[in-house]
Amino acid sequence: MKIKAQISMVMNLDKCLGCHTCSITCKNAWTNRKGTEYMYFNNVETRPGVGYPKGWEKQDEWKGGWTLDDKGRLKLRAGGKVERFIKLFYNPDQPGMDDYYEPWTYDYDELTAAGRKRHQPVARSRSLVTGERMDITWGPNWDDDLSGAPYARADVDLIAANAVGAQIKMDMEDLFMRYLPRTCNHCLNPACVAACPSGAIYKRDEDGVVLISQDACRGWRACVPACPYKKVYYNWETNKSEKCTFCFPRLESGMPTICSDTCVGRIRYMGVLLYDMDKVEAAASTEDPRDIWRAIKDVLVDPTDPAVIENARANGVAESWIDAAQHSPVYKLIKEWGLALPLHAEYRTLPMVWYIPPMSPILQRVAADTDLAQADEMRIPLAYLAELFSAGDPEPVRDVINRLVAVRAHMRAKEVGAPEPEAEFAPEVLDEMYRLLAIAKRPDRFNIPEAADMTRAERLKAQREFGFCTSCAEGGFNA
Amino acid sequence: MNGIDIFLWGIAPYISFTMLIAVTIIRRVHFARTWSSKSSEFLERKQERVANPLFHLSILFVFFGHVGGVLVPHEVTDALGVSEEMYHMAAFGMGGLFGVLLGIALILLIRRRFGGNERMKANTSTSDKVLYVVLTATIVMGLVATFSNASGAFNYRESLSPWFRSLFTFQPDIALMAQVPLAFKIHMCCWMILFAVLPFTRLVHMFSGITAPFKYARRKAVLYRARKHDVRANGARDLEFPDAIILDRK
Repeated sequence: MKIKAQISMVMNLDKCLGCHTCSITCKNAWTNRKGTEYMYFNNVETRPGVGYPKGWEKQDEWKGGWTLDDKGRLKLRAGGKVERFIKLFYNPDQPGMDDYYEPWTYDYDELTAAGRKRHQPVARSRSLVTGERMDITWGPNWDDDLSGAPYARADVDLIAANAVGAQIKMDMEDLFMRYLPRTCNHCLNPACVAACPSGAIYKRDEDGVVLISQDACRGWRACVPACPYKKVYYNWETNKSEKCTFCFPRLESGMPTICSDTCVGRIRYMGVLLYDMDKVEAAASTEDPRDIWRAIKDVLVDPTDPAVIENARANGVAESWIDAAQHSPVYKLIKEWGLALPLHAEYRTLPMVWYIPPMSPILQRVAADTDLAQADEMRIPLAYLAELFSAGDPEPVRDVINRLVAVRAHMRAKEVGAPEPEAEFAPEVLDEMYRLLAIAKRPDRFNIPEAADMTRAERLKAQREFGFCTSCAEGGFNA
Repeated sequence: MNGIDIFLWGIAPYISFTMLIAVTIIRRVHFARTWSSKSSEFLERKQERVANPLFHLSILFVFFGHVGGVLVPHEVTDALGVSEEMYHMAAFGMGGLFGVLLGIALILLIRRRFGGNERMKANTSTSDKVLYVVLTATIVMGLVATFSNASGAFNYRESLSPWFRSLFTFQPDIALMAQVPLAFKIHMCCWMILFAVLPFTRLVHMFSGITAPFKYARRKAVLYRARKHDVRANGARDLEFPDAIILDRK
């Protein structure tokens, strides 16, 4: 046993309204520089849809994540070390700019500076890469809100679900749609870290955040195709790779990431998980892809177990972090209540951003016979959600959604004075679930301990913030 | 032996080597953030697919060919029973083949970068332009020298190679360069300029290309790094990670 701490996130898709506030605040904080225009450390995809970059889930094409070799050992899908070195000179698995989009701006000056004309001035589009005029034919969220049927039908998970007999139709009366916000998953078994020939990508020992050292990166780009979620981006201006930082300067100060903090729907939860480092490799090597998510849950350990606490202390996990792990909203959602599932666990990277699958309106054809829809009667086919969250196994998704239905049934009974319906959880627990999921107050959603090993001055210095206090003892910081 | 000869064959090589070593170290230590292969595959994939692997493969062969021809004294090949004719046939054949391939790849790369692709234009810096001029001159003069000496009339292993080796004993034998044909002399000047500008350009990635495979082959898959060693916090430079601070998974 070797216990480490990991900052983790859960997103409650039931409440995502697809407003893109997370993407915008992230963009303003991190990727508003030249070369990063096309990068979305956080993006929101309409599902079904092709996602960003186009068709990122097609691992046969991109060779992202891990797979098992003949002997059942983990190996990168991109191939062995020699094979990947040959790909340095031309990487056939690397997405190009057109797989994302060519970023553009508009000639806004034209609107105010145009001389007297017969017609209204227009702000024409201009490429942010070349500076030339460009016609816009594709962009991020081009298929937002199912705009354009071909994109929804091209959804990889939809095709996969139909291939195993789900018969999901895209007819008007059965049409469904949900939003899927995505960030870097800060995986326990990150493929980007393993693929980097320079050793520039690493997992932080203290909080599990995966970062790229901009000094050590040599621009070999192996990380870009290796990440199955396509969340490492190549900066064509600085010629180095960049990725979501989990807003580590904010985490160090005990604040949630900017995407979580500004989430209008309050869908995001952040907290500490303790995990057993020694179990990571075995969990990632689980033979049946459908069992991987369960194996990940086994890697996440009970923070109240005395043996775990003792081992965590021995490994340098601070008391404040152990306490935070014991009061972690994320631990509750994933482990105690079993409400969250990982996105595409079959990529074997052990993602640490989990999702509560969404409920959806009752199907037209069963609406007459029932008053509270169960999972199988909802509009979003379970087979489709299963492709996203449980490697095609509908059982775990059904369980989660029926638990969410149980919370509703409980609250409904309470509201109308009906007898308490039979449920897996006690009424007090259902009340607690209701408060965390529906009310979702800020202190309940986030429990992030400050960096235990740094003073405030050190934190600010690490964040490249410099103080102006000349009378303070410690380097201009009022510590 | 006039002043120009002394400068070109006795002083300039040392300036070149000094620039190569000193600037590389300075850049590595103080400007590591600019150290990159500057891959442009993200912007242009179609032409790179053939041009780039061909260029790198042929330049590797050309490099090893130079090592063989310049650093290995002809006494060694004589002792191995390789006659002058056999040696020239092999060197001219292999060198000519990979030289031509390198030339083709270079033309393809020039077409890719300067052939009107607007995205590539946005990605081309001044150092890239300088590099392309110097690299093209070096490769072209290498090819001219090779094919102008197809007959093998000029035996560079009796003049050029000993002169080059004499540089390393800090007693440059300038007299050896007197009988060298002009094409070879220009080729010499080209590499001196190339070596001097190399550390200012993207070519520094070749050093990482040499070291990375060895480091990567030995390493565990997933790297952990403790923040207490994160040098940004203690004021030191954020360069590469000493092995001690990388915790393996087990």
